[in-house]
Amino acid sequence: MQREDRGPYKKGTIELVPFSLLDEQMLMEILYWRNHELVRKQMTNSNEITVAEHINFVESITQRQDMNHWLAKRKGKDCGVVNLKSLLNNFDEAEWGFYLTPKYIGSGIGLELAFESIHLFFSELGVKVLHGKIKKSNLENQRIQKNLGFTFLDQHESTNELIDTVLSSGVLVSDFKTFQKRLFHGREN
Amino acid sequence: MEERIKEIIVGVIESKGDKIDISLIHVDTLLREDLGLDSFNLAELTVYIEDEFGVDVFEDGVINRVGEIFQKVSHK
Repeated sequence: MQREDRGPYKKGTIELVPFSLLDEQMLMEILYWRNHELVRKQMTNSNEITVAEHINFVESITQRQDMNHWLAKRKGKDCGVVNLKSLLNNFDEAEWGFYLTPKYIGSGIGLELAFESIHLFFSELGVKVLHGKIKKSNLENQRIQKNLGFTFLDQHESTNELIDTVLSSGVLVSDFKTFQKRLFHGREN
Repeated sequence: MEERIKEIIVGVIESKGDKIDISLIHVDTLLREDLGLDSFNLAELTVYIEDEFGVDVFEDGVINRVGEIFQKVSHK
């Protein structure tokens, strides 16, 4: 993925808009989401982010070629943030993460956002192997990732709170409707 | 419509190995706290309801009560 090709991207009901295209008001809204209690407790870093840290972070990622942060929209409505960081060979292997806006936490659309984002990574951004980290206490995200096909690796050494996960392209089915039917209708396909 | 939605909810609950008498589901029943649905179950519920009624009940955010689903579907 070249630096210029940061998006926006569309896949199914989901659109990913790079932070570099967002105005200050939207970026501050994202900071509000990130610092919301419901979001913070799910993040691997659960500290509150200051405005200065947020501004510096946004500026830094626009300069880096190995990191992408996107505003996620579902059916045109802001629903969360998705990020992707290259680990090897210009995104051949990458680490991802996402969080929903506080409004959508518990709504059930996390699965859809995760699936379409991962589908995009594999099909259009050239990612071959996707890594993730989940808090041991985040049982719902664990369930989502298990159902997406992620393998759970050994407990993270440093914090004792995180689980490493990995998913290879080719494991994820190519279409969300097919995936829904497999998952929710007894694996017909 | 309301009875059909309740049947769908019962189906989701039973798919996770639990049981519930449909007569116990009311407009004020809480999806998470009373019925024990997590976000994965709610994703299932979204799929089934949208398949049946063409309404994405969670499009505007979290829904907490069964009655809110009734309202969303009836206002389609």
